[in-house]
Amino acid sequence: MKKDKEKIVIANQIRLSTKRTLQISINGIYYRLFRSLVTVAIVAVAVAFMMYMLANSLIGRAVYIDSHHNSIEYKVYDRWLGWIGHDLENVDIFRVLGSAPEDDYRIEAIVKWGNIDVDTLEKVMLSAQRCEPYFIYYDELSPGKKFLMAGGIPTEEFLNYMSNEENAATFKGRLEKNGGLTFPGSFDELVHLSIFYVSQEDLWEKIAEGRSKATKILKSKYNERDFADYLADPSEALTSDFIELSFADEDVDLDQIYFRAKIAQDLRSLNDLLRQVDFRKVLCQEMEIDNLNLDLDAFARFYGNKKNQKTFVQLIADKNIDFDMSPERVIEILKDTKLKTKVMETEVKTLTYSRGKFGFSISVLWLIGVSFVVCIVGITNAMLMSVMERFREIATMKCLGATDSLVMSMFVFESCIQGVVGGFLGALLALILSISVAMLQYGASVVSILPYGDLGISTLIAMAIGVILAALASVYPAYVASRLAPMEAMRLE
Amino acid sequence: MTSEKEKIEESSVTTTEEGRPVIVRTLRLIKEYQMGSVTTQALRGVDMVIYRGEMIAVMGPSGSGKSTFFNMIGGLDSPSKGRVFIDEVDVAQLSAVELAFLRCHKIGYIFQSYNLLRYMTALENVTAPMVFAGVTEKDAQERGMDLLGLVGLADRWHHKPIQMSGGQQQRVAIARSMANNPTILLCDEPTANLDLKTGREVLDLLVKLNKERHVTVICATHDHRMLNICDRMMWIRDGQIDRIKTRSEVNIEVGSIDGELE
Repeated sequence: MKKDKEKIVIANQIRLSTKRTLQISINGIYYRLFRSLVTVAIVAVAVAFMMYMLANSLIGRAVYIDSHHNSIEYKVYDRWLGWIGHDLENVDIFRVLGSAPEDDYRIEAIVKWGNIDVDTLEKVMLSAQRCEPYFIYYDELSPGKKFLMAGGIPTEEFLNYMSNEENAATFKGRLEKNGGLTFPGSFDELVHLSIFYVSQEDLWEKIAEGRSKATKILKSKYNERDFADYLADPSEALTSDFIELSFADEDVDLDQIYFRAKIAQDLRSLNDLLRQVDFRKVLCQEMEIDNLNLDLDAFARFYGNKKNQKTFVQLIADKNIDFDMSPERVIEILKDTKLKTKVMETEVKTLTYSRGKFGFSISVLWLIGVSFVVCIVGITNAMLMSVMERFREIATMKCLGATDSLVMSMFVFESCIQGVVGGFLGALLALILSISVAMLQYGASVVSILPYGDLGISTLIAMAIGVILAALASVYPAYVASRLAPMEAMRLE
Repeated sequence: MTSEKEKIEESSVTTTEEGRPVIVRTLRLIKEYQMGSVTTQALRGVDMVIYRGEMIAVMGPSGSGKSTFFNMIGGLDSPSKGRVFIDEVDVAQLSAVELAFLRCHKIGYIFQSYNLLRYMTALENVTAPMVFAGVTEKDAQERGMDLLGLVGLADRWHHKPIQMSGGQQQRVAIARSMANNPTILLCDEPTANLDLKTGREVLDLLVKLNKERHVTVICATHDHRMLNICDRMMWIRDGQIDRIKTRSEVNIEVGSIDGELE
């Protein structure tokens, strides 16, 4: 009887805890796994796309840095050889002044050779430094662009070219037409610098004279050998002469250069051997290849197994040739050459990634943006269909006491969970893909230099983006669901 | 903060009528639908009361406004004009959140097509309203099993609706409707999709709930057997009450039934 008298007290329907709502949402997905998978797949694809671009550029940058470090090792010898052995053009001197660090011994050497005073040196160095970006700019143009802009002249002649009024005007016109080619400064500055460069003609001559005098002394002292041979056998006397004549600084790492020089020297003697006409004929016969096809690569393949090595030694003995390099040494230098080529190639290949952390071009950003929009639209559509299918269920739930906001939260949560899973899968997929592609491109060893930290952060970013995409896309369908009237449940089927 | 709404406007609204406590009262209830330029009146002024603890059947041909009226008193729709009071609370004054509370705690719903959640087990279906009421999982499961026992399906608590017959599903629905001990039970054609025997079982269950748990049972129905069970019957025709009869007033003869149906 007490119950008869009990009054109905209306209160606000309680708001369910987040944990409870989450539970309901997870149930919702679990029971509708297939439809959820569609949403997950859509998010995964969009995220994978973006993540792949990102991972690619991150890996490319890591590879660039690594190969750059490695290539320096090879470059040191080449650079040194160029510094002391070959002729240096005016423009080479100028560029050294512009790009070498202040305490570089080469600046000292130039000052000594040309007997330059401090003020002039300062002026010239400043101009050279301001000029260096323009050199790099022109050098990095594709051959087609070089031709378009300046008739395809080599980088060395760029300043000479620009110092001419007519040429400058033509260049300016073409620059304006092709605007935005990352021109590093103002056009007027370039012209100004070019004229300055040309005006220093006698300075360059003085430097060249001083240098050639020094070179002559060096050569006369050591019987006109090849400088490469000097480097392969640096005695103490030679080293001190290098320093005295300003070809070297006391701190220069001659050991590394010596190591590289020996390899170059041995390679040269191997090459000479391979060029000897009758030996070549016999070797080609043995290798079963055509005379024309014998190069270091082919030889390296041939020399790979022990049997061939023995045959090689035999042939040398037969022909009475004086070649006493051990097979181990031969293998070593061949490997080193191959490695050097590969490293230099890799450095060049990944140069574009070295600029900026992401290096995304406009077109890539555009593609990613479009894929995101498509993703959102797809999810919204899939969710709307789902809501329509579930209208009876939603209306029933409202009859049982679900508030509008609970229904909305439920759907948004469902979508977010799908977004997380999709984002994770997409990121994983993209990671695997991009690492595989990198291994194909740069060899399996690339695994050791991958930027794992950066890639990890990118994965987290990708997952976050997955959630954001899914959440955004679900707002409208969730709103529609929340506005459904419970009356619908009363409708007959 | 609980907002107790005790709006007693107009002296005509009282808690009792004829000495009995009233649980639902409608006052000049009018519902109009706007379709383009045409206005259709589904309900044209319905005045009636439903007493606490009674079992009343609402009958009427299709299109008579029976479903509309049903929605009104169940808190599922709001009137265009007039008033609906559920225990002195004007339903139209309630916010959406308060309405949700009402549906969760005070009214239980039973539908013609059961409307169970397909992907949940019987127990999960029964405990769903408790979840929305914030009951802890342990308590909810306990009460759920009790309710399933009440309707005789305790051994099928883990079955999904697909694994049950129509009658069993309706019984689960009844158990669900009792989840939060509601004051009113709203049944929309509960036996329409069932055969005679299972229909009989369902009706017995409703009677049992009405008598033992003092729940007010309001049924919209076409079932003749209701006439024997309900305390009162009301007929709606053309958006207005045609007549209301108590059980004793309805003459049932063998082979025929007095009183107009369909």
